[in-house]
Amino acid sequence: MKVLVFIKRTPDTAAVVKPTPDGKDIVRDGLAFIINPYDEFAVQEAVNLQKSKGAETVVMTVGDDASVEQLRRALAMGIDRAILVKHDRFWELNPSQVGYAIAEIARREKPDIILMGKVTIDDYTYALPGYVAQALGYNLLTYAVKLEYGDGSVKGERESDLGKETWEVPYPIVISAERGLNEPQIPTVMGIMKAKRKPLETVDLELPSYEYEIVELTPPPPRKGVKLLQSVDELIKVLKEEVKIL
Amino acid sequence: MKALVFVETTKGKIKEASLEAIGFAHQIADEVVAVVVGKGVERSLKGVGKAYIYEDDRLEIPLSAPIAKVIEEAQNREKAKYVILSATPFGKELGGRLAALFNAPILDDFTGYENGLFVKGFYSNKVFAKIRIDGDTVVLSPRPKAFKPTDDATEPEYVPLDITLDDSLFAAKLVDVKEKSPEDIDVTEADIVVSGGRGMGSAENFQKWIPALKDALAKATGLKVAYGASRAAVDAGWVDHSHQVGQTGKTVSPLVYFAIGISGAIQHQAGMRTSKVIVAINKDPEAPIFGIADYGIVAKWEDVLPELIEKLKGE
Ligand SMILES: Cc1cc2nc3c(=O)[nH]c(=O)nc-3n(C[C@H](O)[C@H](O)[C@H](O)COP(=O)(O)OP(=O)(O)OC[C@H]3O[C@@H](n4cnc5c(N)ncnc54)[C@H](O)[C@@H]3O)c2cc1C
Ligand SMILES: Nc1ncnc2c1ncn2[C@@H]1O[C@H](COP(=O)(O)O)[C@@H](O)[C@H]1O
Repeated sequence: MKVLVFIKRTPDTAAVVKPTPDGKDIVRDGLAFIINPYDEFAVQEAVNLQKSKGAETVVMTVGDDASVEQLRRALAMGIDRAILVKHDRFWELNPSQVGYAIAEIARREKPDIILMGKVTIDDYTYALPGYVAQALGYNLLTYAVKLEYGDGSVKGERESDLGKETWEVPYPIVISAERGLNEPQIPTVMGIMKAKRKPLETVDLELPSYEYEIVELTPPPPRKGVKLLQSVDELIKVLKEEVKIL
Repeated sequence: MKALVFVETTKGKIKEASLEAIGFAHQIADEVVAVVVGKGVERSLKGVGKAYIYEDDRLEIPLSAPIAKVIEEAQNREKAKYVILSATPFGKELGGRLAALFNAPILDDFTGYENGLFVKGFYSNKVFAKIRIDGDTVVLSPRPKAFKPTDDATEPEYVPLDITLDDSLFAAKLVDVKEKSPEDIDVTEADIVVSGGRGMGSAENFQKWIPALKDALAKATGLKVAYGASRAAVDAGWVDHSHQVGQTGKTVSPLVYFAIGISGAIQHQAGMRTSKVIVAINKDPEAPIFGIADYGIVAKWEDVLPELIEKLKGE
């Protein structure tokens, strides 16, 4: 069994993110970066499969040189080897460009299982798991919170508009991870040492181009400030007269 | 310019969010064609002149692989510049497939469209982006609630799509659904969200008072009300993760968001700061939630909720 997991370097969830004065990017100096939180679940799931099924595990990212930090962390968590598809301003790519790169690497590696996060917390795209499944002709299970790996298929649970759904999905499969799937483990010192010697390959890929441009980044529109209310009656009055829902 | 809009149905019922997608489509295109897929679909669509329809017993609940195929068929006939679908959880999955299928750029989950540029929150709405996207074919999925359905009451001519979908497209099998009650509205679809946090103190308190306020508001306003939670409340096991609002939960922009016993950590704000109106109830006047709230009551919830619920009953 071979498992391929895709991760992205994103700013830490607690980071204060601000646009640069020209509005072309965010201020990156001094910002802490992490593996996108949902991708951490994907990495942990791959590591669990390595332990339980002896799966071969590979992690890939489309990223800049600094993204090596996140690849090494995935290796320290237990992944066998890493691939960096280099792009210096990867955060400006359209999902279809990243999807193209992911599909290319997956065609070379031929995994049985592809693990991804359900979404990245920088540009909130959500599109890649569907893109990759379609591009490769793999089956798809999105937003997985629980997984059991059988011989011919994966049994997976997810929450939807309807309620709790259980799916039976044959290999080869693309899975996107939702919070709750597992508990990502902090790498051990041993893990970090080993990670330094694990193979990390850099691949150059020519990506398709699209007419897609982030024209300007601005701070969120300011909120108007809080009006403190002294009683429930005042709140009812506000809901009636200002918010107009009563 | 032409737009092809996918209309999502579950058990034959058309999603409100798809009607909003049609509303958005009218802003960007002068000709709007719909494609409706499902089983026993209600014929209640408005605002389009033509709707392709594909019905199949296997699609009572939407499945992205076969539906992508159906849309491909409609798109082969229409060659629309914009392929539009609402960014519901299913729409997000399907949108990615369509981008791959049409070799097109995609913009997913945006909330605004002004002067030819799209607006979308990045970095958990800590930053807003203006985006230009173009091409022969472009896949666009507006966030639910961000756009309004059209007033146009045109009823479409339904054109059946006569295609046969291969069994291989149905390889993923739904083996079980534990359905939630229809009153358990998803936070992303609600007009009003009532969220509780660690300040509720216990599972009993949370499970009694948060739904009670939700029900009272639903009765008093006639709107769709859902209950949400901070991660602290979810981690404590008081409420299911599907109710979590925030960076690792859901992003909501309701008309009104009630934050009760929630401090307003940056990760929580990420999921709710685009709400139209925010009402916070917290005993700590320094809680960060008051920094983004429109209305606040500095008090223990115990001194507010019972009275509020009682008085809402009189409305
Ligand atoms: C990677 C990551 C992702 C995260 N994602 C999310 C997310 O998606 N969503 C999320 O919510 N959090 C998220 N968090 C957690 C976040 O940082 C906070 O820990 C969490 O939001 C706190 O929840 P809370 O406000 O309920 O609890 P607290 O911060 O403990 O606040 C409780 C509040 O209740 C008030 N209170 C206490 N008693 C009463 C009373 N009787 N009446 C009225 N008020 C009272 C207190 O004054 C306090 O302000 C994430 C954290 C990380 C690291
Ligand atoms: N630059 C990237 N390199 C590799 N994988 C990525 C990248 N961006 C996104 N992904 C994967 O795609 C998933 C969904 O991302 P997105 O559709 O961009 O929100 C992420 O959780 C990752 O698993």
